[in-house]
Amino acid sequence: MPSKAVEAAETREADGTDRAGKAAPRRSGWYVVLALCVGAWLVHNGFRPVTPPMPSAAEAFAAGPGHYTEAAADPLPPAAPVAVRIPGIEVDAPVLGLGLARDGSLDVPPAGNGNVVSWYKDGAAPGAKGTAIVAGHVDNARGPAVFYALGTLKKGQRVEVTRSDGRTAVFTVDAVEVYENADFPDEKVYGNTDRAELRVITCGGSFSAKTGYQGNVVAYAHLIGVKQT
Amino acid sequence: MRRPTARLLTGTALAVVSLGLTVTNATAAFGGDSERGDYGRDDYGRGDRERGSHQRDHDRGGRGRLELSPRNARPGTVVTVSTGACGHDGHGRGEAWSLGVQNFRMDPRHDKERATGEFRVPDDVRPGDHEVRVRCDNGREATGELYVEHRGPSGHVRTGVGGSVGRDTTQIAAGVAVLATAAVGGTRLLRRRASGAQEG
Repeated sequence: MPSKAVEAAETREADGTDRAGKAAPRRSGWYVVLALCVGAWLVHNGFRPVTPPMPSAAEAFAAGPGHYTEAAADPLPPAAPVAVRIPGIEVDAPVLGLGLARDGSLDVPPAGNGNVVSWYKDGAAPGAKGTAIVAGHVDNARGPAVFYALGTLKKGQRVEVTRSDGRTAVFTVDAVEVYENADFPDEKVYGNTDRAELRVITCGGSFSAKTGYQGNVVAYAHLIGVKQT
Repeated sequence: MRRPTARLLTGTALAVVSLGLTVTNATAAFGGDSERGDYGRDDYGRGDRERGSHQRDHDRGGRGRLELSPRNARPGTVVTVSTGACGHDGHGRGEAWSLGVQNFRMDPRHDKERATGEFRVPDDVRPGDHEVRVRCDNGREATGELYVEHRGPSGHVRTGVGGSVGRDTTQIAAGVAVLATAAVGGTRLLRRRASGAQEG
C-alpha cells in the first residue's frame, strides 16, 4: 500500500529535527495525510449499502393522530382513484385497485412496473369518509420505484388524488412515520376515521439481504379541499 | 377514543329506535330484513351497522333472545353469547351454521339465570349477517344475529425488494480520486525530501 508508506514517511519526518527550510514540505505532508484519511473515509462510506431515505423524527405526529394543522374538508362521495400526485417528491402515478393478499396484508402492484400505486379497493375511496389506503413500491429489482422518496415527504406537503368522478381530492400530510414490521400499528394505520383521510405506505427501515426491508414508511394525510377538473 | 364512543352512541340510539319500532309495530320489525345487503360497501360506514336487529328476537314459539357481544365482529374475534332462555342454572349448546361454528357450550357462569358461551369467528367467513342459534337443554331456543365486518388489511406491506439498495459509487469514485491525488502528492514530497537530504 503506497498510502502506508507515505504515512510512515510522514511519521519519520515529524520525528525528524526541525531544520530551517523544511517547514513547507512538512505542512504539505500533513495535507497528504489528511487527504488519505478523507479518501479512505469516502471509499469506506461508499461501500456501505445506501437504503431509501427515512423520515426524520420531526415528521412524526407531535401529539398523536388527533393533532391537525389544516382544517379538514367535508368528505366527498365515494369514487375510485385514478392517479396519485405528490408534487413534493415528484410522484405522479396511475392507481390500481387491489384487495388483500392471503395473509391479510395489503396486496401490492406487480413489482415489474415500479410506477404504479395500489389502492385498497374494499376500503374507503380517497376523499370519501374513512381511511383510504394506498401503497407503492419503494424499489424493484431494477432500482428505485414510485415511493422511493416517501421518507423525505414533509408535514404540510400536498397529496392529490384524481378520481373517476373527475374530482381531485387534495390532502395535506399530517405526519410521516416509520414502523418495524413486527410492530406495525394496524389500528393507527388502517383504523377507520370519521373524516376523509389517506395513508400512503411503502417499504423502508433497514435492509437485510435475507429478509428484505425491516419496516414500512407510512404517510398520514387528511382531506383539505377538492379541485374540479 | 372518539370512535368507540360515537359507535356506542349510534348503537344505543339505533337500539332505542328499533325498540320503539318493535313496540309500535311488532310485525313491521320482521320485515326490516330487506334493509340489509350492500355488504361490499361496509367500509364506508363501518360501525354504522348496528341496526339492533337482535332486538327483534322476540319470544316466539319458545324462542328466546340471544345477546351477542360484540354484535359486530371481525374474523378472529371471540364473541360471547348469553341468554335467559335456558332458565335457572340452565345449560345448552350453540351454533352458527353459516359461520361454520358448531356445538359450543352454554353454561351459567357468572349469572345463574343466564347461560353464557363463546365462539371465535372463523377467518374465512363472508362479511354480513349470520344467525347464531342456541338450543337449551330445557328445549327452548334462542337466536341472535352477528354482523361480520369486512376484515381490513393488517400488517406491513411488501413493497420493495432492495433493488435500490447499493453502494454509493459516486462516493467511492471520489474517495479513490482523493486517495490517488494524495499518493501522487506524497510520492513527490518524498522525492523532494530525498533529493533535499542528498544536497544537505
